[in-house]
Amino acid sequence: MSDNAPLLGVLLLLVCFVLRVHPLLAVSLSAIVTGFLAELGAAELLAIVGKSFRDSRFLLVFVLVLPTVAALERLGLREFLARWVADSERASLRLVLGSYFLVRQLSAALGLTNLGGHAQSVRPLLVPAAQAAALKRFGILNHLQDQRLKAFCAGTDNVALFFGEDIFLAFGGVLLMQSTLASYGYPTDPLLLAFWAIPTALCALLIQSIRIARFQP
Amino acid sequence: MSMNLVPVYWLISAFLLITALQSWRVQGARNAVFWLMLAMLVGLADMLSDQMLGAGVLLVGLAALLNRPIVVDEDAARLARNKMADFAAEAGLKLGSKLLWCVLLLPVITVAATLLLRKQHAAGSLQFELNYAPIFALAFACVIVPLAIWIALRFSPKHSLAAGSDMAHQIGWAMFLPLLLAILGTVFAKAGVGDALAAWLPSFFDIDNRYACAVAYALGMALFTMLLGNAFVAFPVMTAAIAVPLIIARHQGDPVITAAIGMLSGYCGTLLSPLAANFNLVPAVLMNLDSPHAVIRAQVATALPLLACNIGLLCLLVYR
Repeated sequence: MSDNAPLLGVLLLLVCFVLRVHPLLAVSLSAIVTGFLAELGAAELLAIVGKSFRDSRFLLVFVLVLPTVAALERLGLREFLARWVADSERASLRLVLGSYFLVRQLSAALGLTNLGGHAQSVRPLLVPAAQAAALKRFGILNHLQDQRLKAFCAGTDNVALFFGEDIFLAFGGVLLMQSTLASYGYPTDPLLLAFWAIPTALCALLIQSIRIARFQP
Repeated sequence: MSMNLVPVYWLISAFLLITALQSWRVQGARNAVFWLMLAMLVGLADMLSDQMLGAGVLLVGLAALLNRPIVVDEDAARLARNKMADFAAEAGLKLGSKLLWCVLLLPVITVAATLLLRKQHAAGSLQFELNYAPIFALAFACVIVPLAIWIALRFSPKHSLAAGSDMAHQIGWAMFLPLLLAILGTVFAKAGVGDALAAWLPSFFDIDNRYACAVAYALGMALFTMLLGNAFVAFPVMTAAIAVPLIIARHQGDPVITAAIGMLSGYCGTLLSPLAANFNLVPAVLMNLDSPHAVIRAQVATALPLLACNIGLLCLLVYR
């Protein structure tokens, strides 16, 4: 039984999930309960939490992008882009979403994951362009349609990023796979790991392209 | 010369401190506590002991729960919004493509600085962990571009910072969740969750059927990632539980293909996870979506067929 005890921490997370407990509370509780069930002791658990925070605080680096994006928005970047798309005859919703997806997936595959992001490019660039293109095709969108359009833009960025970045051989995910396999005695070539991400990347491209072509807000 | 990320941490800490001050002014002390504590922890982490830092992290989580949603005076807000939109429309037309150049400057500088750092690293003139290069480069670009906006567009960095802090308030506690999930992953690893799962999971399917093992691994990666919000946390656990003992050792599957497609199955779970804050919750806030799960709903129709593709690819390719 004691071997299985840590699994109760995972179960707790699942229960919190279903009961819609605040995510911060759910994750903290799960960490604390798992630690105690594994008999780690309070001091050791706090030390693990602290060290892990120190090693992963770089994840907050994205907040540094906010002043630039917010400033350009105040200066009218969205309005400028909306006019640009509205004035262009060829800029359809499909073209806007499709070309964004392609550029984002290709650049992620080349390791340029910082080229875009929800704060850097989806909110300031993709959403206003898509809104202007949708206006031309579907007329003024109601609130629900506008919400669906914006959510679809965010999803398009995620899919392009996730299924592009794994093709880049110096990407953290590729290195994690390599080190995990190596720890079980299976040395692997990162180049091959990256290569075998290509079939799924092509499937993602196909599926998202079909969805973009059929998308109506 | 050697280089580390300490200057980047200080920059983040300084920005969070400014956000705390602004929060104090606009919303009162109660909301400012979270930002202030987070700023201190990020900036001072190298000086605190592991235990102190750990206690601080749990307290920040509590402080975030105290944060009240921002109460907005609807009429005043609408008026301000309209005024701002008018100003933005006028400025946008006047400044035109200069704005576009500035927004493109951010990735251009980031990529150029990354390449430059890598080159220095290869030449041996600068010592650092190679994974730090893009982080350092992004932070550098985030300092340069507001200065460029100041020079080219006459919008002072002070205003840029204030506008950025507003956006940070909007995002709120969601920006702390990815950190907490990374910590949970470490706790799970130390507590032996992977070994426990490895002992327990195989009782759910026929381990002698090699295709059942492949399907279980891909599905397990997706579900576990969905639950944990992070494929990088799920990968070592599920790989230890199913991929290594069953697919690779028992049925002689190809380790490279197993790992590559297993990880990508996990990403399908990320598309569906309410805990994947950076990808699903933060954009919902940034795009002013009514439901925090709106982005996930928009991704279901991609995630499920793609997961099916992954399962098919794994069964087809791994035992060639």
